[in-house]
Amino acid sequence: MLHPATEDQADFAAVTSAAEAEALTAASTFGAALRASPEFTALLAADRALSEDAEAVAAIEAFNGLQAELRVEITTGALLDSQRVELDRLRGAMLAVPSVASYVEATAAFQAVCRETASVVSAQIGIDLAANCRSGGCCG
Amino acid sequence: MLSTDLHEATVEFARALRQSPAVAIHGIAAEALAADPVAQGLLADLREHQESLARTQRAGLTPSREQIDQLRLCQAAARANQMIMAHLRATNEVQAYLPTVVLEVSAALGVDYASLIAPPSCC
Repeated sequence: MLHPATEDQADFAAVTSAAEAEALTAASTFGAALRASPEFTALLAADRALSEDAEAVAAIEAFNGLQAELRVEITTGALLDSQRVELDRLRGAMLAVPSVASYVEATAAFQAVCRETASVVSAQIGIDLAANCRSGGCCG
Repeated sequence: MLSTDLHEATVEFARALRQSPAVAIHGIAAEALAADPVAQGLLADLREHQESLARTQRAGLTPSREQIDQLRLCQAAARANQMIMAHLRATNEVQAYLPTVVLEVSAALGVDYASLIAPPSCC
């Protein structure tokens, strides 16, 4: 027979474990509900269209390539005017491709939905979910 | 505006989180801390001294020995307060716990939910 204190501890551990399991199940259901949202469906479609659009892929590669090349100048604030103009030109050209613009728009729309859900959760639990959902803080 | 289904799943997720030990204990610790005038006074003192030191440094001056000693005294007093330390421990627990639950959301979603909800100013 267990000592009463040990039984209490065992009960507490069981309740704790059940509550944690329930939270994980609810998290999974919540993730599935987000996945079923029209905004996520639109994002998947935009992502597919983007990856099948050669013009978009080329524009993204051109912008990313120059950005990678100028990473040191960008991070140290040593970008020359001519480099900034070229970077802006490539960014503009990339965003002007319709499939890229649609992707950016779909991402923003889904992000807005996700942030709204995070606000609901934060208000209910009294903790800022966005600021505390990564180990090491929001940048972790 | 969230759809009814998504809103319900969100509220259910929040409810389950609220009942999890880490979040529940954090809530109790936060309430206890807010209701404790001694702890609130210590925290107010600590903030005041931290701000005073920051103002001095922003002005390009070196903080005085007295300012530093005062801040250390406030820090020691805060560390010796049970309510403050209980809240700190609960905060650490909840900060360790929430990422594990959010990983579950991301796994079901197929995308990193934490990145999507990160504040715009976040690195």
